[in-house]
Formats: sequence, C-alpha cells, structure tokens
Amino acid sequence: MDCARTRELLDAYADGALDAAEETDVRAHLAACRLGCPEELRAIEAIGERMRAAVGAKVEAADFSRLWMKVEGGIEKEQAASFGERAKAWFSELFTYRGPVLAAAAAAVLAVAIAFPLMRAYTGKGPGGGDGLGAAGLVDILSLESSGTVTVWPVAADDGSETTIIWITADESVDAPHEGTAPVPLDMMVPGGTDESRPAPLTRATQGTPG
Amino acid sequence: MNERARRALGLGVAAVAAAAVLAVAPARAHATGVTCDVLCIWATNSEVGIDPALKDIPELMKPPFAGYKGYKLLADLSINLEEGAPADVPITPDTKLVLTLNGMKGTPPKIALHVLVPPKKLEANLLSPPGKRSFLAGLPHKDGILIIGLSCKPK
Repeated sequence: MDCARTRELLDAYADGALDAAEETDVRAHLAACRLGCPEELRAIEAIGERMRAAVGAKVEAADFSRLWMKVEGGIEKEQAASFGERAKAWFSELFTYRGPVLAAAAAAVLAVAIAFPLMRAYTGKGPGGGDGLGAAGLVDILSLESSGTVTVWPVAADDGSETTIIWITADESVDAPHEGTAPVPLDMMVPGGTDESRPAPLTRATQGTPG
Repeated sequence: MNERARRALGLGVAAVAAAAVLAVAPARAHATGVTCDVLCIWATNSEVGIDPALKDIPELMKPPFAGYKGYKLLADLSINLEEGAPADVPITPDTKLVLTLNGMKGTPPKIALHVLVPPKKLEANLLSPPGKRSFLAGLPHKDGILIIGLSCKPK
C-alpha cells in the first residue's frame, strides 16, 4: 500500500472503521513509512481527541432535563397508541376465534384498565396513596394579573420534579429584594449573582400599574 | 363461534363494563371539592433563624429563595374549597388571600388566587395538579417578604 492510498484510509483507520484486511495493510504501511503517514495519523487522532473533549464538556454543561421530558412524553404517547392498537387487535381476535371464557376474562381486564384511571382522576389517589392525576406535571398558570412585575420560575426539586414559583418583583414604592436573593429584571438574568445553577425564569410579565 | 354465542358474549362484556362504571361512581360523586394546604412563610434577613417546621420544604434552600437568613412559618392551613365558593384564607392581618375553586372536571383543579398586600396585588388562575406545590413570593412583610405555598388535591 502506498502513502496516497494509506492517507485516504487514515480517517477510517483512526475511527476503527476499516475491515480487517485494510487495517492490516494500513498498520503495516505505518510501521514502515518514513514520509509522514504516522505523523498524519497522530494529527488526525489529536483533532479527534480535542473534538471529543470539547463536545463532552458541552454535553456535561448542557441541561437536557427539558429535552428528556419532551422525549419521555413522546415515548409515552407512542406507547399508549401502540398499546391501544395491540389491545384492539388482540381483543378482536379473541371475539372471533376464542371461546367465551377467554373473552370474558379479557373484558374484565379491560374494565379494570378503564376503571382504575377514572378512580385516580376523581380521587387523586393511586396505589399506595400517592399523588394521582397530573402529579408529575407542573402547576399550569392560566392567567396572571398583578400590580407589579411578575416573574415565574420552574425550580427543580431533588426528586426530579419541578416547582412553580410566581414572584412579584419589587417596585419603587416598596421593599427592594435582598441582594443575591430576589428576582431582578430579565435582562439582568435571575437571582443569585453569578451562580449558574440558579433557575432561569419561565415567563415574565408586567401588567397594570403599581399600587 | 356462532351468532348466539357472540350475542351472549357481547351482553357479558357490557355487564362487566357497566359494573366497572358503577364501581367508580361513588368516588366520582364525592369529588366535589378540593383541600388546599396553604403555607405562609416570612423570609427575612433578620436573625430569626430557620423555623424547624420548614425543614421539609427544600425549595426554600434553593434559588430564588436561598439567601435569606431566616424563614419563619406564619401559618399552615388546610382549606376546603367547594366549586365557585371563594374562601378567605387568614394568613396575616395585613394580607388578604382568597382562593376559589373554578372547576376540576377532566383536568387538575382550577384554582383562582387573589392576593392583596397593599400596595401589591396579584390575581392568578392556576391548574394545580394534585399534591403539586406552587409558591407565590415577593409580597412585602415587615423587613422581608411573604412566601405563600399552595398545594391542592381532590377531597
């Protein structure tokens, strides 16, 4: 294998993407080459290393919780839909080909499946006394009207859930928020000085007039 | 399976479904209102310390609340709300808080919240998933602010 062909394959070699025969040829060429192929490979590997480090740092710094919530929501919807279709097909098959005992059992299971979410919806309790309908969701603000400026934060709790905080920002006529604690205008970021772990406001609105 | 057997099976399924709906009916009939837990907390930079009663509220130790030196629980109330009936919540002498349940059919309870601490006031309509706590903060109180915690669940 000559240098030109080797260099064509160096990227794939560095990625471990060559087949066994090509990899053997490239390795053999690199061991013998005095015309810069080994240096070329080291340069490729160094670039790859730097890119991995940079991407890794960005990934670690990024907050994917919201993205994951959306993905999870999508998966749940998909699962619900496919389950419905599967159940329909299975139930239909039972009616057509199986005996009445099996069909009655399936009907009982279906009835429980219908009844249980209804009970949760109306009692707010699931098994073990946990929170019921919507317990995993955020408090949803339908409307907001205030004498001053209002800032809304989602704050992550230790259990992964989020809490909604509605904060009426101080205006000129009343108390100033404590430094490093209370909200400041959106263009000045959010409370807590330079702490990057602080929550970012969801929404912000000024309505009405002070007093 | 012949036609007769299918018809019998259909009746059986309908009976089971009806039984399931009837079984749920009593729970549905009782869900006419919600119970709201209302916490009223005074956050201050005065040296009042942290009220031990607030140890189970980790949100206070995080931004945007974190940073106040002291937190004192002023009121911890359980308020029953019936649909359409405003309820006055006595949290402090200077604070008027009124909660109204504006519906809970097919959604989390819809709660209207009216707060007045002159010169500040706020009106909000929230969909509050059962047991999920939200906070309203920034209302002036002495040298600090009030933090009102609200969580509601069907009775």
